[in-house]
Amino acid sequence: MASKREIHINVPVLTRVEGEGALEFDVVQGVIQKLNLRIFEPPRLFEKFVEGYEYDQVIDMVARICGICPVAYQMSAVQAFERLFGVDPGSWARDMRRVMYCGEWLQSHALHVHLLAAPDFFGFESAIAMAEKHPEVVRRGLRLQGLGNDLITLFGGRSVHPVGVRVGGFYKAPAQVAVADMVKQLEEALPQAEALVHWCAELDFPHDEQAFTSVALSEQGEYAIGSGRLVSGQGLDIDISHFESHFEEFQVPHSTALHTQLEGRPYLTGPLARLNLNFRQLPKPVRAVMEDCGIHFPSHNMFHSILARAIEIHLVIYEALQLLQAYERPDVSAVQVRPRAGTAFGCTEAPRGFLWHRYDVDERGDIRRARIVPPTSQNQARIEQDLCASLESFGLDHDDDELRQRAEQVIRNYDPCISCATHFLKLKVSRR
Amino acid sequence: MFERSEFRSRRLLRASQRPTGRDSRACFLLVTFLFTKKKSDSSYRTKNTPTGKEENNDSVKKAPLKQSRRVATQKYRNNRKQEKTKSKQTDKMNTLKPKLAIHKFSSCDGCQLALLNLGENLLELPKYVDITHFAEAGPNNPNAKVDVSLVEGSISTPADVERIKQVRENSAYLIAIGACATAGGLQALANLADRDAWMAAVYAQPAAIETLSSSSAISEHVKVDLELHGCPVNSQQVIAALADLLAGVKPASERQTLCMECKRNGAVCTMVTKGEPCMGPVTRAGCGALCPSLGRACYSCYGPAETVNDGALAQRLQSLGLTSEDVARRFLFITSGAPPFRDAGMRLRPPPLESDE
Repeated sequence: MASKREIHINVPVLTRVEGEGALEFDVVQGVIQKLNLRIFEPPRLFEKFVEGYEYDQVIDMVARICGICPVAYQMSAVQAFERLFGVDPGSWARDMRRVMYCGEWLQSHALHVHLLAAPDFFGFESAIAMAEKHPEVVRRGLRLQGLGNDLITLFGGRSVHPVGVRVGGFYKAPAQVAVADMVKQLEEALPQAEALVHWCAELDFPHDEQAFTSVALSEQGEYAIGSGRLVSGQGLDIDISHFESHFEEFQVPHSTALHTQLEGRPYLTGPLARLNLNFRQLPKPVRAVMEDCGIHFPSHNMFHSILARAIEIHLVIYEALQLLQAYERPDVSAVQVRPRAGTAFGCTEAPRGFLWHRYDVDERGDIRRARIVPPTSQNQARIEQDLCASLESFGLDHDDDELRQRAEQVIRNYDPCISCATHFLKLKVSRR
Repeated sequence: MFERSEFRSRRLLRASQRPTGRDSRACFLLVTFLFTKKKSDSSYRTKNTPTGKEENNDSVKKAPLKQSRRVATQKYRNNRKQEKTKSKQTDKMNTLKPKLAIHKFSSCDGCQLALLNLGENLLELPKYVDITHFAEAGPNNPNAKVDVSLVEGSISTPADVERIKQVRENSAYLIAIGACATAGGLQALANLADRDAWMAAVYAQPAAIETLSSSSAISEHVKVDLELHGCPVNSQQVIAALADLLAGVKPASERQTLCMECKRNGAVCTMVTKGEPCMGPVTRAGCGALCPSLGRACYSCYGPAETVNDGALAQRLQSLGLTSEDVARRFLFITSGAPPFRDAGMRLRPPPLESDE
C-alpha cells in the first residue's frame, strides 16, 4: 500500500508568509512520526532592548518588532502604560484608536487574503500571477489594503511604524477635512467589502473539521479590538493581568520563537478564534452578510480563516465609517500623564491574534523589565498539531509536491508572522 | 465649497502625504516613459536578444509610393498585421526587463512593504521589472542572477554572512534598504551590551540558537552600491531609486538634515516653539518631516545626516532639562550602529557600574 512508504519532506523556505521559516516532517508506515515547524528568523531580543528606555520611547521601539502590525504593538504598550499610570485618554482618543486599529486590520487582512492566501485556492504561485487571470479581484484587494494604510496614515503620518500615538492620546488630531475625505472613501469601500465576503464564501474549502480551543479578547458591547478580557471556548474568562498564571511559554529546540500553551495544551488565536467567540457582537449589517454567506460560525475548519478575515474586513470598514461620521476635532488631542512605578499589563487583538505585554516600570517611567507574547508564537503549537491532523486526512500517499503545497496552505491559514514571533517556511519531509 | 482655511489645510494634507514631492504614480509614469524609450532603443541588450536588432530594422515601414490607393492600403494593412504578431512574439520572449530580487535578513519586514504597499501600482511593477525573488510575495529563486537586489535586514548569524556574499555575487547592483541594512537596526543595541546574558534571559537554552555576537549593516560584509535610509524606507524612496537606475542615472542620495526638510515643508520647529528634545538637527532628511508636522520631536528614524554636530545638540538638549543619559538614549535608539550616533551616545552614556571589558 502506498501509504506504507516512508516519507521525509523538507520545505527549506516557506513563501507568502512574513519572516523566515521552514517545515520538516517524517512519515513512517503511513503515520507522521515527527513534524517541526522550524522558525529560524534570528532572535532580536526586543524584550531586552527596551530596558532602561522611557515609556514614550518604548512605543516606537516595540512597533519595530513587526512591519505588518506596528499599530498592534503600539496599542498594547499604550494600553499597558495608561492602565498603570491611571490615565483615561477619554472617549475621543479611545474611538480614534479603534479607527486606527481598524486601518491595521484592514491592510493586514487585505494583504493576507489577496496576496498571500488566495493564490493557494486557485493554484497560482503569487498574487501577481493571479492578477493576470483575475485582475479585478486582486485590484479590489490592493485597493482595500491601500485604504487600510490610508486610515493608519491619517492618524500616524505613515502606515509602517506610524508616529501619531502617545500615552494619553494622540500627538495631533486629524483635520476635519481629511476625515471627511476618508469618510467618502470608506463609503465607497463598504459594498466592495460585502462583495469580498461573498467571494470568499464561494471558495472551494477543503473539509477539515478539527477540535481546538479558541482564545480571544472579549469586550462588552463591541467586537473586541483594543481592550477586553481574555476568554476561551472552554470557559476561561480572566483579566489580562492573570495571563501568566494560565499560559506558559517554553523553548523548543527547532525554533527561535517560543511556544505557548494554555493549561498545557495548544490553542488558537486570530480571526477565526475571534469570530467563533465574538460573532454575536458583530454590528447587525455585518452579521447579516455573514449569515447570508452560507457558512456557519462558530467553525472548526481552519480553511475558513480566509472567510473570517473577509468578514472582519467588512466589520472594520463599517466601524471606522460609523466612528468617523461622528468625528469632531477636539481642542486637545492628549491628556497629561504622570508616570508611576509598578507592573503594567496591556493586551489587544493584533490582526493575527491577541498580543500581550507586561512592563515593570520605575517611578520615572523607565522600563526595568519587559515581556511580550506575540500571536504567532502562541499559534505555533497549534499549527504543528493541525498539520499532523490535516496532512493525514489529506492523505499521505499524495506525492511530495502536493503534500508540500497542502502543508503550506495549512500554515498560511494562520497567517504566521514570523518576524513577530522572533521572527518563513522551508519543508523537509523524509520518507524512509 | 471649501472655506479658504479648509482649502489650505487640504493642500497641506496632500503635501504631507507626499514625502519626496513625487507620488508613486508619478514615479511609475516616469518609469513607463523611460522604459518605452529603452525598449525602442535597439542597442539595449541586443546581446540577449539576437533577433532583436533584425526585428527593429524590419519594422521600419516603407512608404507605398506610386501605387494605386487600393493596393497601398492593402499592403499597409498586411504590414500592420505582421507587425502586430511580431511585436506579440517579442513581448513573449521579452528579455529586456531587468531582473529584481528582494532579500530579507534580520528585520521586521517593514521595508519590503515599500513595495507591497504600492496599492494597485504593485501590479504595474512586473511590466517594468522581472521579480525573480520576493519570498513574502511568492517568487522564490534566491540564487538567481539579477540586475538589482534590494536587501532588507541586518546580518546577525553565521549563515547570514554566507548568504549575503552569495547575494552580492548574484547581483549587478545591490541596494541596502532601511535602518537594519544600513546600520544594524534597533537590534544593534545588543552590540553595546552583553549579548550572551541577554540571550540567556530570553531563551532557556541559548546554546541551541546560532547567532553572531553582533548585528551589523550589509556594508560591513559586502560592497553596497546604494543605501536608502529610514525606519522604514518609504515607497517613494525605493521607486525613485529604481526609476533612476532604469533611466541609467545614479540614484540621488539624501544628505541634508531634517531641519532643512521642515523648513521646506513649512513645519513649525518643535524645539524652538515648544522646547521639545528634537533630533532633527542631526537627522537625515527624507521622511517628509513627519513628526514635526504632527507637533512632536523627531526621534531620528532616518539615522545620522552627512554631518553631525552631536556636541552642540547634546548641549542644547541638556539645557532643555534632559540628563546626559536621556540624551545618550536618543542617540542610541533606532540607528545605534551608525558610527556618528554610536560614538556620540557612548560618550554621553554614564560609565557602567561594572566594566564590560
